Amino acid sequence: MKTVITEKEGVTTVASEVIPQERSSVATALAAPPGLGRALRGTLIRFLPVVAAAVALGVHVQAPNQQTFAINEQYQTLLGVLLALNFVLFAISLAPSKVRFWLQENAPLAAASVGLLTLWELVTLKLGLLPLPYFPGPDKVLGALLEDWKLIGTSAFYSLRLLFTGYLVGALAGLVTGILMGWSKKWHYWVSPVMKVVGPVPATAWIPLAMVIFPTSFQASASLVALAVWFPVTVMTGSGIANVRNAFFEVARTLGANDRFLIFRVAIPAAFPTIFVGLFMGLGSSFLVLIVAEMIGVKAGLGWYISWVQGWAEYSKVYACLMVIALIFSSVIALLFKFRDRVLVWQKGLIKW
Amino acid sequence: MVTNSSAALQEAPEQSGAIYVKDVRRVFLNAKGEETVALERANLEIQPGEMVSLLGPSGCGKSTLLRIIAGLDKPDAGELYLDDAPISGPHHERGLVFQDPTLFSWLTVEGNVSFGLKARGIIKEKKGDVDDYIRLVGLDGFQNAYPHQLSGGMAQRVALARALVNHPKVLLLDEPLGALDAFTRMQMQDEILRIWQDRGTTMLFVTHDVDEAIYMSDRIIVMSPRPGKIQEVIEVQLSRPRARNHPDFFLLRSKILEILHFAGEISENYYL
Repeated sequence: MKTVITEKEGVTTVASEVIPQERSSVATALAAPPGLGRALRGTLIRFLPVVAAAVALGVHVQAPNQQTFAINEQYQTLLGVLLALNFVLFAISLAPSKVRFWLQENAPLAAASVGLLTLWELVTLKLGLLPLPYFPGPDKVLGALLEDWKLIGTSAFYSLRLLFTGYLVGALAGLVTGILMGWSKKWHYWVSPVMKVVGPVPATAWIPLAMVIFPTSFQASASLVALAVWFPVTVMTGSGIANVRNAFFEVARTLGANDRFLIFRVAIPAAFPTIFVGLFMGLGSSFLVLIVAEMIGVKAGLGWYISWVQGWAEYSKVYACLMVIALIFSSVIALLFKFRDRVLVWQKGLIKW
Repeated sequence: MVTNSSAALQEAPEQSGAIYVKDVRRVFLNAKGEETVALERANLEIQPGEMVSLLGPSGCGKSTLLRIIAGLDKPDAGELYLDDAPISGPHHERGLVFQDPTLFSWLTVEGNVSFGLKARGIIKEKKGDVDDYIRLVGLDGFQNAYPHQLSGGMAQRVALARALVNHPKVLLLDEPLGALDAFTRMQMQDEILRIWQDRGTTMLFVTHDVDEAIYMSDRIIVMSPRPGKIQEVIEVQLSRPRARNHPDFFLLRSKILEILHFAGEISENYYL
């Protein structure tokens, strides 16, 4: 088996009968037993994060500070925990197990991330190459996060509430108009010009109007988010459904399907890979609109928090908030992909993302 | 091969499934507005339980005729009946299998085979049929496989099971084995014949393979192009099961090739 894997790299598709697809990853290739040199190399790779964390801690404790005021002590604890954690993981991975596989794959990335932290600290706190207050060191950002987590958490809650409301409304509306456009020529005739003219206008450009039309700023922002989602979802759904192979409909008709069945059991599932692209694009633009709307109109949320702390020149809090935004939005995207994996399970082994 | 004792497959072959095609004409317009006669005055009568093939070169209208019978295309003139009911559109009584299996790629083998029962809202009553038909086409154990995991032959078996699970009176096959390799093809011919003899369903299939037509059909409708029309109807008198290497088989083969003007000429120096 293991000898096959190296040969298999580069060969992608397997035809003929049912064959379970195997993923030949870097990890499996590295984990192959032959040769002491290879094993040693693997061990060294898994040790890298320990080295990186030790260096980070060493630099933080030993190197003299250039940016003097208010060194945050929790950062030292964090680095200590990081070092201990990496060491424990390394120790566990000395025996062959799933942990070893996982660590082998992720160790270089983990080491690089910790290395980046060290680099950040060097150019700010340690060497003072970048000016304060705009470029605080990692210790101060951690401090800001620990100090202000309640307000950041509340802001995140408001942002997510707005995001989900707007996204769900926009995605549903986009699905409905997209299906109607893809299915019926009449709908396509009347809706597509509106789409072509209104769609490309950035949703944020509607902010002044939205603020007047809707009674609350929450409703105004939610509808802007919805508008930003609606456009790509409609376009992709419409085009996905219009491009479903006609033979699918013909076969379905001879099997006794009526129009309703054709739409829900043939057109939508067949078009879903394209529909998903629309959902993904819509999610991207909804993030943008969300943050901008909060910065301008809504008095809550992560966008509001950023512009507020910027007003106080508390840049460490700006960075803390940016990190939270990155974490939340990437999790939301991961969630969307999980949803896709469930719905498009039939594409597994057929398409690579 | 597989003898199945379940109730679904044991239903007595119905004495229905007769097709009448009377003076059917179909004209296509090209981009310039010129007429191409795809089918001219086609007349056809198929008995219940008969296995009939439409044979001819491309452009002879054989697929057009099949699509019209399936209800996917409308004739410009003429009348069509299944038993006593006029054909006006697609219906599950007239099952269809294309050359491309056209399996719903988002559904498993089981999902594909049960599609018709779900579409007609009778899946609850007929749940057992799905497995029976998957077994009938020899794909037991592949219920949860997705179409892209199947070979061409297996996919075509699923398409066959998907059409048959609806108990169609007539099964229409449009070059069903055209995309398969020669050996899989011969194997599938036997499979289709076995199912036909089991179920007694009327079958009408399009082919451009003379051997296939002789091996399988009770009657061969030979068609010719420009304009597409029925040229000759040949009764295949060979007893079943048939041998692909029987002298009578070759005799019939050369007769059909002559009708189609594809026999070729024997040059004199051939014997020297």
